[in-house]
Amino acid sequence: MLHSMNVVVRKAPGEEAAILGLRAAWAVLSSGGLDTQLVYMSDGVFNLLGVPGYVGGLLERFIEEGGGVNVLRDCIEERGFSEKDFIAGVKVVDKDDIADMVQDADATATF
Amino acid sequence: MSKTVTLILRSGSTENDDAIFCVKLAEAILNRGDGVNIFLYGNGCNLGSKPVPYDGRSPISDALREHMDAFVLSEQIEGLTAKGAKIATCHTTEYSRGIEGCAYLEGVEWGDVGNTFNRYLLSTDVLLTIGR
Repeated sequence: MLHSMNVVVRKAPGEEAAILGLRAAWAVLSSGGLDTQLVYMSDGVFNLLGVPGYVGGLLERFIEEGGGVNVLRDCIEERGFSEKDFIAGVKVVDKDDIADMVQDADATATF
Repeated sequence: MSKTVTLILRSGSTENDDAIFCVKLAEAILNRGDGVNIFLYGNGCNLGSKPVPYDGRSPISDALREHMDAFVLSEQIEGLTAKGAKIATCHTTEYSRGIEGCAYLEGVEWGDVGNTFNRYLLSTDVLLTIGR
């Protein structure tokens, strides 16, 4: 039985995988009760800019319900963003932090 | 002691390597005596439905049809459920593709990410995402 899970999202808003990852993470958190961490990297970082509608709303609910939202520092710097560009509650993490998260969690799913 | 592997399959159609790999991997896991759950998510949900025969005139050549038929996974998927694999679709992604009302392959079940996927996780030892 899994108790904790990372959900990695690498796709930008507009790609179905970005929604599928977020929806899975929220379901695992809210219905499954798992300690759930979303990890955004590559073009997935664009999901965290305050996208209106379904993505932004679901991200807000995910954070309100206790889910963690992380973004990889390298990926935001490569795209010219900084921490202040993202919605409240997003934690900027380094590669080493993600390595630790993957090691510590029971499972990691990628989207 | 046997373990259970849950596979999230996000790719699915004929000639798709991810789907073929997933089915072969599931078969290998079952043959080893371990358990398999497959959650058909995103395009993966296309694999859960029964093929609908078409009797009209088709532009597909015999050679192409023969080639594609070698990649149709319906029978293999039914074979997996017959061997004990649990396979469910995500009805939301079926809805988005207009296939929510299609009949399922033998043993494939209607599912959702909130209940079915979480139920799978309760018995999961290893989770793997297959797709791109």
